[in-house]
Amino acid sequence: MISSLLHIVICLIAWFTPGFIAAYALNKREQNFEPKWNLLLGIGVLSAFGTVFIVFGGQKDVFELVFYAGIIFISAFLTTRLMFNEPQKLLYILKRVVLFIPTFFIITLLAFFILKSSPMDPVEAIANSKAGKSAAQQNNVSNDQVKAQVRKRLGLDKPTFYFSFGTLADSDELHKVIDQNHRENLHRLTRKYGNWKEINDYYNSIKKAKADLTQLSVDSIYDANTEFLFPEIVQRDTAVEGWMVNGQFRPYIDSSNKTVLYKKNCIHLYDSSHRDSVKEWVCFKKDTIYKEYRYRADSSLRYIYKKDDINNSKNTILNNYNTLLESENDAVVKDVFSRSDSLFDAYSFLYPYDKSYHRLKKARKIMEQKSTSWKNYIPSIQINGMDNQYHAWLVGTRPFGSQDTTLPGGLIRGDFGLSYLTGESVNAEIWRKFKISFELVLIAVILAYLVSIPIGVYGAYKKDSLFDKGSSLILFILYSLPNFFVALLLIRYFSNPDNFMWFYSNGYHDYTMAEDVYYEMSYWERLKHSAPYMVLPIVSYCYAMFAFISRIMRVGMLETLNQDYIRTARAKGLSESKVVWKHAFKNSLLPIITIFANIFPLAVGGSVIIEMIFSYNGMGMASLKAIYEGDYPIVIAVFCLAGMLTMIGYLVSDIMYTLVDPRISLSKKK
Amino acid sequence: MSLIVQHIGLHLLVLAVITAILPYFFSRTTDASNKGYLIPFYGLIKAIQKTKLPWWFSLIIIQCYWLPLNWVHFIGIAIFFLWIYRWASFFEGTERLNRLIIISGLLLSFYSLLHPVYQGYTGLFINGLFELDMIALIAGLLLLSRLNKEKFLKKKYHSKEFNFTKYALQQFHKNIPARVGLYILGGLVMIGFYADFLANSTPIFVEQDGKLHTPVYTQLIDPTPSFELDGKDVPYGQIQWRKLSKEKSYFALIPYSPTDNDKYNRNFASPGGKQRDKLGQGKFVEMDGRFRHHLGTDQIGRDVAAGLVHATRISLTVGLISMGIAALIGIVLGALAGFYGNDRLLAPRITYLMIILGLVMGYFYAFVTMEFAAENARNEDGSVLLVYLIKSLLLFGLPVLFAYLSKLFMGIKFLAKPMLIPLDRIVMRAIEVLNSIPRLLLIITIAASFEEKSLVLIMIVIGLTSWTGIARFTRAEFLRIRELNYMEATRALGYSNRRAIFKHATPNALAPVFVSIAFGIASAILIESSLSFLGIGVPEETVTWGSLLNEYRQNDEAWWLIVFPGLAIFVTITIYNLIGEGLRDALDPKLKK
Repeated sequence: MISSLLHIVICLIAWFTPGFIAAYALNKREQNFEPKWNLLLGIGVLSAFGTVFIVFGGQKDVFELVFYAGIIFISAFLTTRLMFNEPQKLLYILKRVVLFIPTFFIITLLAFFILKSSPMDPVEAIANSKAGKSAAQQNNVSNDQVKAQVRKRLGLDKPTFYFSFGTLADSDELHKVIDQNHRENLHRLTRKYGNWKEINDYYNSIKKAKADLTQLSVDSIYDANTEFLFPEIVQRDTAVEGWMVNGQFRPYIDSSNKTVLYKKNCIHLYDSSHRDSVKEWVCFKKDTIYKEYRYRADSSLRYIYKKDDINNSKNTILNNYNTLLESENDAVVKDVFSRSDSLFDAYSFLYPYDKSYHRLKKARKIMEQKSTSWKNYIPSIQINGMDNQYHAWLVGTRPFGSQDTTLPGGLIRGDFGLSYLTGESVNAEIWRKFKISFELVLIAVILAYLVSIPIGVYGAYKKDSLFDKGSSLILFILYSLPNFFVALLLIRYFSNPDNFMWFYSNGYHDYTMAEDVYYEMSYWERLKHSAPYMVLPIVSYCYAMFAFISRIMRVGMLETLNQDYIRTARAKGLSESKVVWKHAFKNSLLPIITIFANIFPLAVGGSVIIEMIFSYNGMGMASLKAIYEGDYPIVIAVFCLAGMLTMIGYLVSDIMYTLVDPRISLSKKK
Repeated sequence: MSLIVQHIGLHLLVLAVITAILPYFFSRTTDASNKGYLIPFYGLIKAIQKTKLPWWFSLIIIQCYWLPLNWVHFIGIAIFFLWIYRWASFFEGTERLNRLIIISGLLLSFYSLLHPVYQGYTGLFINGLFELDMIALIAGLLLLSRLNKEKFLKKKYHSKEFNFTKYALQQFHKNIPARVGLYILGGLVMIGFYADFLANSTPIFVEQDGKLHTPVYTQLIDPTPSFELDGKDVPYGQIQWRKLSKEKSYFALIPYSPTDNDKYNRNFASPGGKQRDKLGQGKFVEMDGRFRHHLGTDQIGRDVAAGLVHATRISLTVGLISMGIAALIGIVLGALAGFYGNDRLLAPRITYLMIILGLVMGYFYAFVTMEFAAENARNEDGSVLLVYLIKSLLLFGLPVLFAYLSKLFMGIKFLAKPMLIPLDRIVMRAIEVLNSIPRLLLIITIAASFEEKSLVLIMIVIGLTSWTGIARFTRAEFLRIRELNYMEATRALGYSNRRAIFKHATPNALAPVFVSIAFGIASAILIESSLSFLGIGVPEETVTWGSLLNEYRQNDEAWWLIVFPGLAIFVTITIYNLIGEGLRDALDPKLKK
């Protein structure tokens, strides 16, 4: 708490000091100083950014504090300078910043809907994970209940957006169905039959039938409940025989056409006194059943099914029900029904469950008969109101002004929510990973600039020399090498005990060392520890940039070196180094700045493959993992962050243009 | 000149008709399954067989009998319709008739391709991507039919004035690396095109009972091929070709298919190491030189060389098709944005409303109502292609229909009032949004959200996410062109905007786009191999360069799994980069001093 307070104080001081100093200095210099509305607006927008940073960062160590304070100091200084020197420039920047907002909004929408349309369901992943299963066991609840809880916790039981665009047949109850496969199936049924009420009835009847059948206890049937399992054999008239099952008379044989109604595969006849002694094993045939039973219709004889039979038939029918829940394919459904029918016919112990099964079949029939598939051809818009997933994600569920940090604050408060899988704050997670990746990218980019700018400059200076041609060729080859290929080769030769074990290629610190221990070290110690781990990733990052940057540098230099003022400079008798570095180099920096804008987003998303190969647990790995596992909040956060950084990068490079080349003016008049 | 073209067209037409019709009449030279396929140049093949030339010679013969069957057939059809087009234009004012003829010709060729006999040919282009073949073919024919007939049939340039196209071609020709790159690319295309004949575990020729069989060919045109062995028809999958007769069967250069797993050489058999073979009574012997895995095998015994050859086709196709999609979107959007800018797109309010409504309705019927139509068609043996056709018709047809319907409301003054659309701003905003999401990450996310893995979807996704560069280049060119005098002239002459954009401005704006496309193909190939390296989006059983590289990670002793596919990717990307640079140098005279 104290540290975050301190942090805010430091940020505020860093924010306002240069502004005041500059204002004071300018006030002294030019007496006609007037605070303009620009000033207020600028400070407002920038402090909003500052607040976002503060909220985004959370708890910070000294390094981060200094880092933040540095960024804010520089930006505030530049802003204040601009404010007084070139208010037009500032206005342009403000306009750009305002334009960020719709772009950013579209990015969030895009990310949100790409992920919403994906078939991955985080609820399934959580419920089927070890933790989910053990929680289900502990609290003695079923898997479905766990899923329902998870859905509620993640807010997935709400509708997706403010409105939903669908057909007239669509129902707003669909998203409340817990199981993902069931939801999918119901969706398909809706597209096929278009009558939600009947479809829902059908769905419920399957669930009811399934619940009924689940109660069938194999052991109890096996352990001989005379009343139900070993029904009396009674004689109604003289001719018709049958069983009494739960007080109901069921004939063996249909009296009209003499066919066997309840066919049993086999019965096992035995004495009631000792059941295990097999007396006789009779397999029925159409003709024999009648005679056999009449013949043995005395009380000492019983029949029983094999335990496997009971078990198998129960499981088969349960599976059939599951298939019905998850599939709407006509052929499959028909097959399921025919298989269930034959099972119900064959085993009399299934008789109590017959009723729900027939209800199910009837519901299916009604659904097919009362089909209103025309509804699928009429578009309709449903208004879902504010209580939807997107809104919750955008605004959060925490009331404004509340200090309760356990509730998500929503995107507008800089809170990307909680990770679905780990349950931790996405902000903290992303920030941790971002630092790791950014460090790598920053070093790689600085290295790339340091190496390639001299090459480009020298190549242009000595045009068509051996150096120029050779370096161009080598850099061209480097540029065309795919980075995963190079990374694998580097690991093969420089991180391999068979060749050279110079560097490490697994992660960014010793894997035997705990993460906490690593972070307890001071920054320099950490860097020293990580150095051998970082070399290969950095090399695989920056070799392609060499060609890119030096090429642009070379073209830019070539153009400037042909200018008249360079000749003038030479004619004046300036030393070559002064001509090249002071006159030509400065003027050919423009294209280099363009690439600069790409550094920030590179730290977010450009490193997926390299981080995966080196198991470097940064942003790339984190986002890849999140995509694989359906952890949307992290993926959306990565998208938004990358978008924001790219836009800031473009803005920064635009501003740097004007700094390098005063002829370029941002506020172009139409 | 036009007479010559007509003659060539006629000859090709006759040839096309012959190749199209003859298979129905000749069943003498057929395969064992006796289904009536024609083997062209039968006598030639027979003669070569008798001379007992080495096996690689068969490769040359393939050229002889594949080229006429494919190229000539398609070129013949194309020229035939062009010829009809020209012939039909003799009638005065028969534009509509021309269109009718072209459309019916397209339908005819479309039908002829749907015929089972021709499915084999199209399978050659992209194996298993029949629908895409169709689309490509239609697009090609449409393009051909849109060609200006005067330009196409008459001599283009009479004067010796400066001709930029000619100049650019000369410049490109002078650029030796780019030219060499183009030649190597041609080689790669040939490898991709003839992959089935370069790497296949089924022999190309088998001579049995005095009859010549061509199993690979049969495999391509027959979905359920079988071979007569000991009086029984045995399906190809169950035949052990290598045990038939060694003297009389001619195998491809690499006698393995990419998906075959050699069970005796599992677990990364090294190219130079021991490779086992089982012969006769369960005896293991060292592999015969002809059947060695010259580039080793992977974990489940698949031949790396065969995988490389077949993956060439995949990579080239991915590059071409995805950049084709990207170019289409990019050029159209860039052209419209550049031409109309923020201040020129004026149309009645109702038209915009109706177009938006049409888009929504198109989306609704194509993707909501017909959500499972393709799947149902697949399950019920319906035509998936037809479903896609209906879908695209709905998606693109409804907006057009609604735009026409908007004429009904023109009477209402409020609705008919013209409205300005800042098209440029909209397109630029879309580009900004797409650019600000890391591309690879976006593609991975979309690819991971597909229920089934498919290469076609990957191509489409790459295409849909990489049009921004092309659009920006085209837009910049259009901003320049629209201020030029001749565009002023088009307006003065009262040409429609459509004509001005696509007929007069676009050809002049395409130069930088070509460069961008060449580099784009390189990066599309790189993205595809990255995706298959990560194992996302590409089906597991499909062997690609990236998936081979990924297998190296399971065993870092297997150097052949990193060197060969890595080099293949490297070479392809280098080629495209070289061609791109060559094009840039040739098309941008500013750089040439």
